Amino acid sequence: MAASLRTAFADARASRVPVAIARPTVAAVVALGRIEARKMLLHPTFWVTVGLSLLLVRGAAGGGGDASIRINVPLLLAGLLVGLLFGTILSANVAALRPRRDHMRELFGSVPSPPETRTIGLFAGLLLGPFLISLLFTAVGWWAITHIADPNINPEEVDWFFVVQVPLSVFALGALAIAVGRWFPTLFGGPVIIAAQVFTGLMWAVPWIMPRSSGIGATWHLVYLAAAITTWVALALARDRSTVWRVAIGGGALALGIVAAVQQAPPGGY
Amino acid sequence: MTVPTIEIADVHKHFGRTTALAGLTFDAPAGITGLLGPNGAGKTTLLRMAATVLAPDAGRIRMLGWDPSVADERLAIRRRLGYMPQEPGFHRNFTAFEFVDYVAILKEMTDRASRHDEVRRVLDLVGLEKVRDRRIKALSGGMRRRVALAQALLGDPDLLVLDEPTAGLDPEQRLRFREIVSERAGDRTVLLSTHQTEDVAALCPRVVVMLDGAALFDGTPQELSGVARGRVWLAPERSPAARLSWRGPDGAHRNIGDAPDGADLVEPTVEDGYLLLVGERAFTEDEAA
Repeated sequence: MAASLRTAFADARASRVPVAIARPTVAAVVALGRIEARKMLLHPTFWVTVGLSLLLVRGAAGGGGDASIRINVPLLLAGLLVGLLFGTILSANVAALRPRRDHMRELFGSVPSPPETRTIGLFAGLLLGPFLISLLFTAVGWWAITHIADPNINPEEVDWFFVVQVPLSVFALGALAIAVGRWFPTLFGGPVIIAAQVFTGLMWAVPWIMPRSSGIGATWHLVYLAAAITTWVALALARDRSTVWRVAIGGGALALGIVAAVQQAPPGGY
Repeated sequence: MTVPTIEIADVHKHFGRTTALAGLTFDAPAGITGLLGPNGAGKTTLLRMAATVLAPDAGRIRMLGWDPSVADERLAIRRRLGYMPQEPGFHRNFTAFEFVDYVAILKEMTDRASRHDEVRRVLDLVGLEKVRDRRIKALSGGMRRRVALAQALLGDPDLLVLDEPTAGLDPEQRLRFREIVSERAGDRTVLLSTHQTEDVAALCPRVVVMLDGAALFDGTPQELSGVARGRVWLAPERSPAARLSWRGPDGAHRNIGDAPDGADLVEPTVEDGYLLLVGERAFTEDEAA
């Protein structure tokens, strides 16, 4: 066992691709981002997850004779949002896994662009794909809440703070999925993130989207989301090259995120 | 004396206890240099080093005058390099166009319109214009190799490193490949590894035969076939004096080795010279593979 591990490490060391020193260019990142965005949005995991969440919402809403339940706008939007979040996690994770799963190391190692170009291209894809869709979703959701007469809507809960969390959370969870995909080359990464969020109660202990009425510290929560995004981006880039700056920024953002997660919680809990 | 564009000097490489290259030394000028050798001879290891994706344990390599162990110079090589690995990976859910476009972006072709023109050009060049919008997972093995060749040709690189580019291609495509590569050779440098001695005879002014991580032969295809001159003869049966022998389509046995007196000698081919050099290894390794 120890001998085979030693051999594996020796082989990995002997096969290491010498790094490229060029810096990622904005033009290359944007061009890759366009491709990645299209791939994320068209990937079956994305639209199947969004579609499934809609079906579940329809099931939860009954879909039978009670008209007041069938037009439950907040429930419909919440279902779509869950689908958007989980679909983003799965498709972003698959996109991050792609080079390793498809054995592209050798070919991509021979090009002048450094591996960071591809990693930042993934984040650009996240921005141009699921993030833009989440902005559209937020705009449509805002219109629905302010224009559709539904007794289930509480307009006081929907303010700029509530709205801004939607795209930020989509980006943060997508960034987490990319970071996990860069470090753990397995298709289980995305489902594990979702399971960890749902079944461990993590998403209730440290929520992603909460109304101001829950008592959450708005500023700290936004700091938390920004810190989470920074941590995942730094972590993903550290997979390409663990520079002192990346580790320092990632570590600093992680520490800030932990502080913000504690500070945002109201004294008596949510 | 032509200036060498590839300089390999006493290069060693080990993977664990396996020796891939053992003091390999040769120079190659601009033009096409073919690498021949049985499986495990170290051809792919050498090509990976030429493509700057693998560093030697010891020895010196210079490509186009640059040293790939120096970061700046490695970048300069990569900017002039087209590389087709032996087992190229593919993003299977991409179309042929999307995949080559993706590689083109990584090759610093960022202007969208000119990049797309270039992607269409190389796909047309390898005869994939009709399937460029088809997903790679739906393409045949030969078509995929042509996609891999297309990405290597992006930007008309000064240095082409091709690892078994004709494996899996049908005869027409092999001829098309020869046409593409020979048209581009000129003052550019092409290093290609192959098991097809016909490709070497048809394409390469220079050939290096590798065995056990070292260069066993370095010369022209004519010189390689010359190795077997006076040692190839046809006979109705396998000759006991032959080191290698096989029955041809006309029923006669082609024997290679020290010819017995009175044998009908024939003009040797590159393959005869190669087989005589590499000997039984050529067969046993292929059987093992």
